[in-house]
Amino acid sequence: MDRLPDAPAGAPDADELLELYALDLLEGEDALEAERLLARSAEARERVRALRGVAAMLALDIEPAEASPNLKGRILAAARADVDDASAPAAATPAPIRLDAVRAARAGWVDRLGWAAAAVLALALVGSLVWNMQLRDELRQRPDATIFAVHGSEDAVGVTGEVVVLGDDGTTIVTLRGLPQLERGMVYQIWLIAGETPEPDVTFVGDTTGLASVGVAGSISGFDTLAITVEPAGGSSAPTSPPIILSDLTTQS
Amino acid sequence: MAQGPDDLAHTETTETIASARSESELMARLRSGDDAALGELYDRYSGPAFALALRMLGERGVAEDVVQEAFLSVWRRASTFDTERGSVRAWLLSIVRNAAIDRTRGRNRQRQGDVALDDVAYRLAADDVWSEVAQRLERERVRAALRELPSEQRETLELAYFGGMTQAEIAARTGEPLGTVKSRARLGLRRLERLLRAGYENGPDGSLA
Repeated sequence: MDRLPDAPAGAPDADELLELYALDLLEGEDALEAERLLARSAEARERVRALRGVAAMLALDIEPAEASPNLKGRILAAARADVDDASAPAAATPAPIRLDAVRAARAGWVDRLGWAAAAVLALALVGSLVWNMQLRDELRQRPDATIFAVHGSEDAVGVTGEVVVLGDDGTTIVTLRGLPQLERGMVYQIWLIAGETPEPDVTFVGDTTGLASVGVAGSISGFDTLAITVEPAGGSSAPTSPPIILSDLTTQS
Repeated sequence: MAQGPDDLAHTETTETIASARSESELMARLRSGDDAALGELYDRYSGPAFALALRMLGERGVAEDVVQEAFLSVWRRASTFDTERGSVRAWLLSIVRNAAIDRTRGRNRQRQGDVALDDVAYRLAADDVWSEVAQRLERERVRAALRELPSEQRETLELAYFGGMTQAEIAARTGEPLGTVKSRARLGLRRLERLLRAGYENGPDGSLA
């Protein structure tokens, strides 16, 4: 790949960005630049896939090791506990597990209104947004990109960004700025919602400056809302807290 | 009766298709909440997952925690995985690596958005072509390829892959200028790619396929 279009003098070229990105060496604006390139280029995504495969070969040089015999049992027990939690009456609606009083109060929406209704209500609490025009304009240059705005609730009022669906392979990327720092052991998790049923998607964290670009694992086709909640590390099978970021997938930006 | 080249190719293709079907069926069972399928997944991949975690973290207990977190993550998010787009093994190992990096870096320095892209690892990580390479090449041949890397390039790649360090952190650790770290990383990665690709294009015995 050649130089990036409109790249300033001295800026890394596309090959350098992708190679360093594939090794997870980049941070901050360099990482964001690489992710913008990945967002608009299927060729770049294929290149990173291949390079990460190369780097992963380093793992073949590891001495074999076996975990303790009881690890499998611990994992299966935890998985069964997940199932039990999901089927228990108390877990029929999501319950806050780590939130402060404000969030706990808002979790009450979920009990009273149901998850989808809570999402709609949270959308109404959108604060003042500073839209990243530069990034949005850059993505808009792709004729096959469909863009949806994201909105932060009162707990993420400074969050800006967008959901970008790329036409070439349906890749969906959520780009966010201004993410609140998470408590230890917590992650953000994406949910795709149709009606009142949230489907779990990927988990992620932002960097120290609150930036994140997230590849959505599932197809957004058939879903009307994308929501983001704070969940325990590893993610949840059902939301345990109210959404703090939402995107209406029925209305393009 | 000895197998000819065509027989071997047929056998290999059949095995590849069977393996893909088996993995697809396994994930379908996971999506339906079949915990026995999780047990089978553990039997299949816990070895490399634990070895990777242990290499990155150095402590068995912490490594087991990371492996547990990774398998539960697969269990909880099986519905998001598309077997058409990559291998479960690649997805699982990427989750292990990311979780291990989280442990080593802590939350004082969270990873950037690549984390999330890694989270859908079958999209951006461990291309299946290279999974085939791994299956075709004997471990010793892979190690031989790694040994051909200049030590400083290999060290840089290992600090990145196993240490989860950024380029700035590697520069601070090694005392080398940032530009040198970038060059070593890029040269090492490209050289490793060439070596492995050459190994892939040659047969398992070193002859041309």
